Amino acid sequence: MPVTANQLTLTFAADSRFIATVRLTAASIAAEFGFDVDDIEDLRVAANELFAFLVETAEDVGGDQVEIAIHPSDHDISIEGRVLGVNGTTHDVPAVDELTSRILDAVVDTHDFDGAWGRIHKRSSS
Amino acid sequence: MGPYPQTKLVVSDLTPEEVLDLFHAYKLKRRRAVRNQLVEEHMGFAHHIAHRYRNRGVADDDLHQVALVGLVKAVDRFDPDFGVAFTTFAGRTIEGEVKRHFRDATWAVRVPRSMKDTSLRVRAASDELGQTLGRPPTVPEVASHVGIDTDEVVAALAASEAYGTDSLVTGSEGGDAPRDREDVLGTVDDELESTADRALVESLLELLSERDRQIVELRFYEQLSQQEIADRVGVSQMHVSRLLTRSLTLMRAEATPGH
Repeated sequence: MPVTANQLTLTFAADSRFIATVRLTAASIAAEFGFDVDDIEDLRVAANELFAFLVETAEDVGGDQVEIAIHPSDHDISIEGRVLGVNGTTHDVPAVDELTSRILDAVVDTHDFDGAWGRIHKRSSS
Repeated sequence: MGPYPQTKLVVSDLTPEEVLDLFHAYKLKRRRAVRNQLVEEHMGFAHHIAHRYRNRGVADDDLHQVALVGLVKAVDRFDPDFGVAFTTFAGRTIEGEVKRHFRDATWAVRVPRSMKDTSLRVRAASDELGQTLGRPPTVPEVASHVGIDTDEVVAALAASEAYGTDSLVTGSEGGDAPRDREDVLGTVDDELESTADRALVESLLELLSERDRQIVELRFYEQLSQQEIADRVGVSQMHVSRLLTRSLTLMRAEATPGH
């Protein structure tokens, strides 16, 4: 998606130890933009799924890093991520498994994994 | 979404030891594939809990989805070295998630009961640690003290902001007179002082009847007085006292090493 005014982009080593950091960052930004606690709780779960899935993909395809871009507004928040290889090359992400899809169905409004990007989108309930 | 299994709580052929090994492996590496296996292993358990809340005005599909999310959280947070069965731990987490769905409308904004409890505990821990340390505590310090993870503390702090500045004087449920923050928070009971105890108490509460558990939770999580509990539950203050004593005796006995 195009760069947005409040976009935050972070690049992590493709390591599941950073999951908590991703969750915390997503939760903090959502709190800053006025999302209520239920939305934030849902977003934490979704960010967890997205990042863990991308780390696993990176391990499968030989990617080194996972890039996460967060696009918050007062009304909604999108988080997208992709796997980066050496010299910034990107890797396509596979379709998510059924369990992950069901979890994301429960906690975000939309999610899609297409081409190099995995995306989740959640509207604010308040 | 397809039909949900209703017959078996555990659907695989794994032995309890193999399941425990999976939890240890997940704790060590946090592999999503292992997490998914553990979730699928206990999916029937989550559906079983969701099934208990049917016919209360929430669609079955929603209940099962909510229970699934609770199960995922439980698997993420479960510590296999703590000595509590996963189903004991997960049962509370999943039920908490389902109850969150039946939210309490008495608080302004959308703040679930679990978050209210957590917020009060985070506030109490912050105050207590602030006095002990002589400085405001860090989020990890509060998380360790309360026995939750750091982002839950952030969420709880966000929740407390949702109450607004009036949250320092909060009305208790049932239309009682507003009580000061100090009254709500009270002091941390000696029996619940350590983080380990707090986590242990959560599991020991499962041993009690619904009414006894409610009384213990009102006393130690909502910091109500025995008289306030008596008014709420509809028994005498002395009766509450006896029930609390009996419950704590039972919980202590269960918590004794070698029991």
